[in-house]
Amino acid sequence: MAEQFPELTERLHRFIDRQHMFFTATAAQGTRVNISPRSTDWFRILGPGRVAYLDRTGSGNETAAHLKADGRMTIMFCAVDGPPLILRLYGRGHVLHRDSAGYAEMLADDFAGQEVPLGARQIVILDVDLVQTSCGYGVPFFEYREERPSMDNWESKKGPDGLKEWWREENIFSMDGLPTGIDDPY
Amino acid sequence: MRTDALVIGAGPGGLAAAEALLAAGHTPVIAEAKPSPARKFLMAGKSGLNLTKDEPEPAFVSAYSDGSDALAESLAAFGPEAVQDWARGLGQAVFTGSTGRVFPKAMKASPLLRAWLARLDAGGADLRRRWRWTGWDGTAARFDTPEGPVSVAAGTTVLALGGGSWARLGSDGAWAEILAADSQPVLPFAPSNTGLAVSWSPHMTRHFGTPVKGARLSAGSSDSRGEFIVSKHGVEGGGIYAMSRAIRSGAPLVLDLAPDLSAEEITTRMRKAGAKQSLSNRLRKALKFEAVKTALLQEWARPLPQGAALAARIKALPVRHDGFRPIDEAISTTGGLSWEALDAALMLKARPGTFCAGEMIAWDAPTGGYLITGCLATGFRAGQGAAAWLNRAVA
Repeated sequence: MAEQFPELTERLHRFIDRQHMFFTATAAQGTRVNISPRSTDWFRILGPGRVAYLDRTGSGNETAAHLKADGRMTIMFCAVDGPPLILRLYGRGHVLHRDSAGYAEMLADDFAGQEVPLGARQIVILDVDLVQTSCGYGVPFFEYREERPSMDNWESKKGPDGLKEWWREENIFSMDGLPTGIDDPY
Repeated sequence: MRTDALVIGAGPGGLAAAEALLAAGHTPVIAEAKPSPARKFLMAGKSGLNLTKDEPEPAFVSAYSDGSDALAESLAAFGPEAVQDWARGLGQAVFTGSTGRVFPKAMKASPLLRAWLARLDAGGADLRRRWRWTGWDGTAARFDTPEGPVSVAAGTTVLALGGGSWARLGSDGAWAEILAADSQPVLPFAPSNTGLAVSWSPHMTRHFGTPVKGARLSAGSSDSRGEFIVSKHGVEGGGIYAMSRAIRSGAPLVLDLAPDLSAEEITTRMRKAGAKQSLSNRLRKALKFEAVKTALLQEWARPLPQGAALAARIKALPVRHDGFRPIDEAISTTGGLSWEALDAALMLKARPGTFCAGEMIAWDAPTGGYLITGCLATGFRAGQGAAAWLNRAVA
């Protein structure tokens, strides 16, 4: 049976700490619904009702476009080992542009001690208005092995200029033509 | 590869040409250099896609400059009414703002573009992304594509290659060299509908982002009551854009901060406001000046005179600017392919079967819906010309 909470509890903090992967789901009026898997390497709990992740470069930039146009976002974790559980965080998200003052501050405060990847393109923040857990019985068992080296390799091959060019070419509009804001001057 | 019809450039002009070709029974290949189509169109829609201006034909057509009979005929065939019908036909309800400017109800460009692309796709148009046109091999068009170089032999071609600003969205004007090398008359690009650079004093910093309303700008024989915004780099917005042409020809730009009051009225009101008040208080009380107007007066008229001389300054404040902002920031550009290159059907005289459309041709218009309508209208005309060319070849 699903259980609802107004914010993240201690138990749920510990559950999130054990996860290696999460999913974000977003949409805006008239668009396709996007869902993306992400590594928890760059996920942070900022408070009982606020979470964030450092967003690395992707083929597209759907989440940012949807957050700009709409704002609704759901983050999902699900246990693939240990006790079964699915955790969903519902709320409204926004993007910190990489040239904004808030971005640099948050990198220094909340992502300190980790080398920022070359392809870090923005920070996504979710203000959570509902937390829900459900049984997770339907999720199969998996064993976590390691992070893929592919992203690091690709980013260093592209280099800073190549990445900027990539953002302009590939990350500037969503597949439905919404602006993502990545190229907005700051 | 071979195709009946080839459209190069998937902005509003090229897509309109593709639609006209489809309507005539031809299925075009559309080649776009960028990973996705109509990027500048989408960006134009960010703060509201102004599709056209709802006004009677003589006034509408007279907003365009550096045009030709072919442009006037394109606009007569596909003017404000047709643009609105076309948008409604794509399921986009439209509304007309108080100044006659027409927007889709959804405001943004993306729903309209999505519906348009879906309709072109359903009709059989074949959109190829990341195909960059690099010129001609004889009569075949050459492209750099992710699969390597491709040569396309087409029965007819429409070029809709865009203007020379916002290069990162695709309109980099790189085609101008190719056409010039083909001995087509190409005029240098110049910025239009663009902001002016101003080296502000530090006093202006707190006004960055503030709109200036209820003023009148004039330069040469042009004047405008349009708003403008004070920005970090200078002044920008509709009121300034409308002065582009006059400024380009060298006319000084003058600002009337109180266009609804005579100089005498200003002097009287200022006197009544009381001599013990600070100047900014008097300006606020007597003339209802917002802080930004007072700041502009201080910025451009220091040291401020008194009495009638001050009123004269308020009525005619010289705008001290450093010329246009860089061309790549301009909303549109003038220059490009000279009308001399084209016949009445928008066909290149020296390349029969090849037509041109949109901002690449050397016409100019202010913002307010004229630019997009101009692109659509010449796009449809070029597409119809291309279709007629194919049909004639068959006959």
